[in-house]
Amino acid sequence: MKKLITLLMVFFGSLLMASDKLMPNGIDPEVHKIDTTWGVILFFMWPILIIVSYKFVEFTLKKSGLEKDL
Amino acid sequence: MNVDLTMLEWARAQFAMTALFHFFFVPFTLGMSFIVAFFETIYVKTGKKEWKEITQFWQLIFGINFALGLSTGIIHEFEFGTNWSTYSWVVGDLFGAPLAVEGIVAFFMEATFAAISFFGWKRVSKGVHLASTWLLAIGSNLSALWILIANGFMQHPSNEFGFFNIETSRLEMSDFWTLIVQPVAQVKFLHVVTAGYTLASIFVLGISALYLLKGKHKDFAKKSAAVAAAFGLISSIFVAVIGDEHAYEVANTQPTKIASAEGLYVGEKGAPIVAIGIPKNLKATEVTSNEEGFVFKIELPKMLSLLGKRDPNAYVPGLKDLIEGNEEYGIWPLSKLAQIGKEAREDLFKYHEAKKAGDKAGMEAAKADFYKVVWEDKEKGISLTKADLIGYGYFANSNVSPDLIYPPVPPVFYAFHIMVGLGFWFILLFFMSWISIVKGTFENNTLVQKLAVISVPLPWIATSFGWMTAEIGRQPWTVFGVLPTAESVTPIALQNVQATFFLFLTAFVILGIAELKILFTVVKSGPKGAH
Repeated sequence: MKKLITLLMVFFGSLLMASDKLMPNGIDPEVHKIDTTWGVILFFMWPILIIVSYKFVEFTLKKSGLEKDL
Repeated sequence: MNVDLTMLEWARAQFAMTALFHFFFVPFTLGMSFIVAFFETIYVKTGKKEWKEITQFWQLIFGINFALGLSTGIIHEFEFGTNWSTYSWVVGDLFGAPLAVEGIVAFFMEATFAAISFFGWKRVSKGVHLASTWLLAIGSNLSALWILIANGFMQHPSNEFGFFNIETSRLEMSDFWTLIVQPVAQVKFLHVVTAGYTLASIFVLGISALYLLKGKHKDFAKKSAAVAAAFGLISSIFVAVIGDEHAYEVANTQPTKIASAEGLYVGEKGAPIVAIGIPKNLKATEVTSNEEGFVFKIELPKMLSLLGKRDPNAYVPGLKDLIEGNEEYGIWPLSKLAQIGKEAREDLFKYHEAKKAGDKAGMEAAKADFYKVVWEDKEKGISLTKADLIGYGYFANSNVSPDLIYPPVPPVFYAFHIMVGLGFWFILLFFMSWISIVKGTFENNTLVQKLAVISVPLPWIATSFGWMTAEIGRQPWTVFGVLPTAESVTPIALQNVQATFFLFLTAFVILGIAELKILFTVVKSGPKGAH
């Protein structure tokens, strides 16, 4: 649970960063500056999502009584 | 270079047709590969034959799509060479690298483990087979990752990982790691794959519901529906959450796309989102207020600022601001950007003329001018050189209207809003199905079953519209702000593109009919007809 909260804090924390002043072409300088750490965190959401999804599938099968032997 | 506009339109139509056809199979493959892996894992853990039967049935359907997805993807890659050779030549070093990795790593991984997973049921152990099925799923999704890294570059070609080389007149890579992990690409990857999981889950849920409505294969259908509803519920919620982050990235890297998607002609603080509306097809240069842009609209106040800038009172630039500029927020008029782009093109020309003449001083002078910094934010450590704005030189042509700097509003608006609306419907559908499954009432809940069956084609509409939002919304650029679409095409005779357009159209119609016929036959025969 703690890990999940940390992950959510990192996720939403990273969003609060838009600038007032834009670049000449209208792009936000904060987003133009590439945040590689945020990119890596985003990538690792994928395997986490797959693991969470599979666990939720098992939970659903047990809870519904369709498969108890998991 | 003078390019016949009709030729450009035919080339775009051919690419769009191929991409749309290819994209019917891709998200299905991305999702089905993991659904099959889930089924097989349950089979291996429980050792029960019914789970093996379930796995093999859905794997057969997955296999049919997998083959067509691969073949249409290959056509797509050839079109970069035939119709978009200028694009391939100018940005090949950057765009080609992730495509090459996709081909070498992910494609071979997919192909190898697909063979074991599809044909190795009686040839390898349970464990090896299960590992192959998982590796096939991971490989398929990694293919998407590399393609979307390439596409992420087209959406946001930051000068942090690439630069325009005056010597080669090409865009070249300077930082592979930054290219790979740039958030625009990663968020796109997550949005696309989870949309694929949602799509495949609705398909499995819908077909299972169809069996229950017909009173056939009940145990098979209930178990399949449970897995699909659980996976679909998680995925559809995640699509919405990551879609929000995707919209944030778009709002801040492609202001013309988000302004078109919301019909925002005049930039404003506390900009609203248009929940429902009928936009007009107007020229931003002739519009004076956002009210003129719609026949009617229902707005959610401040929501565009909140979602696009994470601040309900933040300023969001409109299409007009991106043409006329907005001094208060640092946006330059398009005419100024175009002038700088034109000068960059002249510097490039001067450099190569000096090189031909052996004039080293002339070369150095042109090079220094080409890479001259025209804008800088020292605090954030970012800058723009003339070279970075070379694409804008296209708009210095007197026959190019400034209104071409943004995509057409109505198609982008409708595509975006229909995609978002369907996304919310999918969450509701999965939620109703999941509750019903957990309570044990799904077998008799004909309303939810019917809704699931009716919904089967909807995620294909949503994913196609999502793709249209991304690609039409990026216009008039192939590489945003760097390479205009009109300057990306191959200067070949119109008839060549027309001929191949109809050739591909014929092939796609035949393949599409064959695919549907096989699919209906397999679904009709049911799980016992598999393998």
